[in-house]
Amino acid sequence: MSLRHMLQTAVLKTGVFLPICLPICLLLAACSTGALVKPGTTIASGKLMIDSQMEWTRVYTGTRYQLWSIDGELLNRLYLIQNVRAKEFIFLGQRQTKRRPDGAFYQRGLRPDELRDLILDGLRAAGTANLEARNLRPAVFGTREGLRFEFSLANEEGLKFQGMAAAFEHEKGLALAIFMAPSEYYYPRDEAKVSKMLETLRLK
Amino acid sequence: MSRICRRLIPILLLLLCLALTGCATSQQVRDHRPGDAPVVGTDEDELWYAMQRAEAELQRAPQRVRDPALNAYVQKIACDVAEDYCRDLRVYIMDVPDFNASMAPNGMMLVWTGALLRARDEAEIGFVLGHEAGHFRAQHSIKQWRRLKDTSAVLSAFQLVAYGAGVPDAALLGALGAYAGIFKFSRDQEREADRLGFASAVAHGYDPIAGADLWARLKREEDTRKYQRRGVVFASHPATDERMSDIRTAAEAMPHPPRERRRDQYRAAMRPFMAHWLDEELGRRRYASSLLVIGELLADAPAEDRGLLTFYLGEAHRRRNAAGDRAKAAELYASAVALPGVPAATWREHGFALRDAGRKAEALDALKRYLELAPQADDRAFVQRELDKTGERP
Repeated sequence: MSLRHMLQTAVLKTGVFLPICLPICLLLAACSTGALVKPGTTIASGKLMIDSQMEWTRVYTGTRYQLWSIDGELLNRLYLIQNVRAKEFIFLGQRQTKRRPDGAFYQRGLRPDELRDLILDGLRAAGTANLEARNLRPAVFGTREGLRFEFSLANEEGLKFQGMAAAFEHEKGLALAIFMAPSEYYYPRDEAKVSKMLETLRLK
Repeated sequence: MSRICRRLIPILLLLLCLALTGCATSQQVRDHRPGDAPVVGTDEDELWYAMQRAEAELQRAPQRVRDPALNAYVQKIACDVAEDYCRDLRVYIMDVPDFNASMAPNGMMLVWTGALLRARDEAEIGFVLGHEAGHFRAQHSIKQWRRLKDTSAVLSAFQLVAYGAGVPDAALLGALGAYAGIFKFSRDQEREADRLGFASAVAHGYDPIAGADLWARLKREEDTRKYQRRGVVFASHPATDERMSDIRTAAEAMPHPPRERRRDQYRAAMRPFMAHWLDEELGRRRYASSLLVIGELLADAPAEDRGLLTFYLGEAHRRRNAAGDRAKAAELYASAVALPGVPAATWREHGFALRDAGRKAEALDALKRYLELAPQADDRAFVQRELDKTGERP
């Protein structure tokens, strides 16, 4: 279940077919990379910066978001989205319109718990099950106030995952970081380091 | 070849294709008695084998609801309406917030929690489960499977001839006609399952109008999604208003219909799950549908459910956040806090609504009440910050 998969699932579920889906998928495929991210400060996506104590592989680099992994996309993944614009699906890819009014579309000025619910509903729309969030709390990202929380879910095959999310609003929209990994071994192994990383999320 | 002949060929080929696909599926199904299984080595046996494998996967699915009491209750209703076929059925409740139920040829029946949320009583869900059991009893899956195979074979032969004769348009039209035929076959099966479900539910003593009541609500819900146009020729199910009308006509034709609804028993069995299902319902973010579904649930609700449903109706307004929604939500939260059985979050929302209305002292009281009722609340830090802004600490 990658962001690309989430995007494709969400687009297909809302009835937007090949004319939109295919160019997006081709674009995403064309942008894929496998560059090493060394420990230190990195520009994650656009002006979004993060400090990492560990090495990552950049699985995907695009203009709107990046996907990083340590052991491979199925074992751990960190999505870094610089900007979700108003009326845009929380994981990008489609916009709210009169013909498509329903879905997890971001609006400016949401309360922290409303933002958390929006992220969870985006994950639900991607086909996850047994989604539960915990420990919603305020956080500061650079000079901006935002939120953090942890969550657990099962994918369509029943594999259990745990994850953590960080988000903050800025002048142009919402910056978002989501990390998830299987509950068995991978999430507990990297939880503390990734949590520390998310604390350093900020705009340049 | 004359121009007239050239024009006639595609029409004749198309008529031939439609005639052949219409005649497809001549193979008889076996006599389906309760407890029977397909003959080994037949196509039906293969279909059952595939379904058994799918069922093994389903048993591990994360969406499966495993609560023993709920499963036993729904299985019993299914058994009541399936009559002698009860021993062949295995009911699986899946935590999916849409209205749906389905039947596999091997007796695996799926019911989504969205259907359980929307039904009002045993009689209504009995019609749904009776309909699914009707598919099983009438062996619809194997008939559909054979129809697909036969149509596919006829269509392939027809297209070869059509392309060979240099009339590709006829090949395309033939394909469309064949697919339309498959969908019509499916709609006819649904109509038959409706009749079987109606008969078995009524035979069990359920009120015959219950099915029409359920379909009427589903039709109103469908109408909230005007942007989703329903096909006619390529639809797998008959139109909802047609189904509702058929049930109503059949019910009205009964001279002395039974009147059993078993509403209280149904509500009691569903009550422990309502809050979770309503959360999932709102998670779909189809607010026009949710407002209708929750609003109608509230209108029909017994006193003990009114607080919960009033809160969730407020939630649907707040989350939609269209013009006037925040005011409507505030009104509903204010009503809900006076009712028994509301979730603690009602006090939080009531508090935020009061804060937005400038009633700070009352807002603080409500937020403090929330933290008292839910000391381990997931969002405690944010609510505490709201209290701290005004110098209050609980």
